[in-house]
Amino acid sequence: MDEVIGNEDAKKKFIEWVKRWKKKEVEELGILLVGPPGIGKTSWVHAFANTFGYNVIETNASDYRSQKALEERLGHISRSVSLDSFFMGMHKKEPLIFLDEVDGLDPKADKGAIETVIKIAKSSGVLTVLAANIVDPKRYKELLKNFYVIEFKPLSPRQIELLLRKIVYLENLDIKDEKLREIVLKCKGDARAAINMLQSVAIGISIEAVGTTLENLPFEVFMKRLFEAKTYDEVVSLIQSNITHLEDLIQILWDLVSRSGMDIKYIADFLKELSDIDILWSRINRERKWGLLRYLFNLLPSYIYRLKRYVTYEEKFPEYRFYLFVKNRKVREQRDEIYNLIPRYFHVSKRKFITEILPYSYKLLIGDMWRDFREWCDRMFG
Amino acid sequence: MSSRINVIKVFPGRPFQFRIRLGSTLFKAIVKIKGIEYRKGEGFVITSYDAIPKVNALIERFNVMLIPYIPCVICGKDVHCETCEYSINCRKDLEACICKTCLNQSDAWRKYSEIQKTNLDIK
Repeated sequence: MDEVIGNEDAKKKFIEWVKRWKKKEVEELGILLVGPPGIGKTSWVHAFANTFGYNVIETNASDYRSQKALEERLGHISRSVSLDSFFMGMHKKEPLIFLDEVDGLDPKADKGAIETVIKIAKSSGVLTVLAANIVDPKRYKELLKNFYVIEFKPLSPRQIELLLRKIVYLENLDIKDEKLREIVLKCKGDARAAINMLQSVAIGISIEAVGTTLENLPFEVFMKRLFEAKTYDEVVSLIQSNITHLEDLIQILWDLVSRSGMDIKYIADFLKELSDIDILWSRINRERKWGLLRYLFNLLPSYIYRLKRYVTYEEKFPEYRFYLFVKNRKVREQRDEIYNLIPRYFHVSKRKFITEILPYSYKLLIGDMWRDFREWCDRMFG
Repeated sequence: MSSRINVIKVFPGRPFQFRIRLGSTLFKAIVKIKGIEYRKGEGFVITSYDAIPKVNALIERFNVMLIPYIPCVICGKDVHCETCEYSINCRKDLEACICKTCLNQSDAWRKYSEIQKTNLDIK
């Protein structure tokens, strides 16, 4: 517990509250830790549990946290001991319910979760700790009313330097103080980011590359950097730090492969692999199984790294996709009108036209086919 | 005329006096800055360290300078923010930090752990 750096006052408050809670001198049902990511909230709870002999029962954003799921998982805690914990000797320890990333609760998928947590904390008498990055006072009114809020602040640069120096010493790494200072400046109080950067620097990635990849890049810059990346690790860290672009990335990769002009066998192989990646990504999103991301973080970078040998990225959206994203109302209306008509010309559905015909016939469409289409429109609709 | 600067160490949340006559215009200008407030009968209170450079710019002509006081977690002495290499990039609204002398010691982490154990009352 003494090895979790920073937030000394917050940690003190935490322990004092637990002591008072044990004596039943507090009104609140549990503790709500609030603070930006990477500053040791989760590590602190685990360290606290280890030191004071609690058995942590944790749920985070990767689990289903609906009312039913939480009741199934946590509802029995006060009444019984699971077989696993019995055989592992954990039954002697008191349980500690830890609900991480509370602010990530989905209003639809996790409906009723907060009410259930409050109910369980009230009825079970088990120490309940919640953690969140930001708490919206309106949405989480009940939580703020029932839980003791402790704020965790970002670490000071010197605290992070101390942490990095400790890791460098323990791991026997050959990293100079200047590099450590650069990492400290780039991580902006986020210890997790600092450790990740140190790890990357230790395996030979330049600090400039590490620094730039950690930011959430605009999509076009992200694509450019992805195809310019010199090492596999750079591709990995770029993808890991820009998850929000994965949907578009898969779409663009599909475009690149299908219009690459490679041998048909290669195209088939690449598309097959991409479809596996796409299925995995959809599954992660739909079922909220974030644990599967580790497979995606291996599959996608290796796919891109191989694809780069055959394909070059043109540094722009394919033109037809640009028209799918048009924001100007007038142009959008015209586009929709055309999209409603052209599929009829090809005798296919609108969806099929956009996904299967448009990418290949865009150039034809704006050339000769456009003239034929206009003549057809004249004939059909006058 | 002497140009010696009077340094006022500022503790976050604790009232302090400027020890100079500000005048109503300067007083109003200081009170308007976000991160500093005036409590009647007590004095000025810094609530955000972002306010310090702004206040310093206003009171510069009186040869007075505000400097934040942040104690070192290990030795308890002032960390001397004004000489810190991370001064520009630091938020400065910290409860505690680590001073340069302690940071450069080879057993800094061990000392930090021991202090933590004592502070958190871990046996």
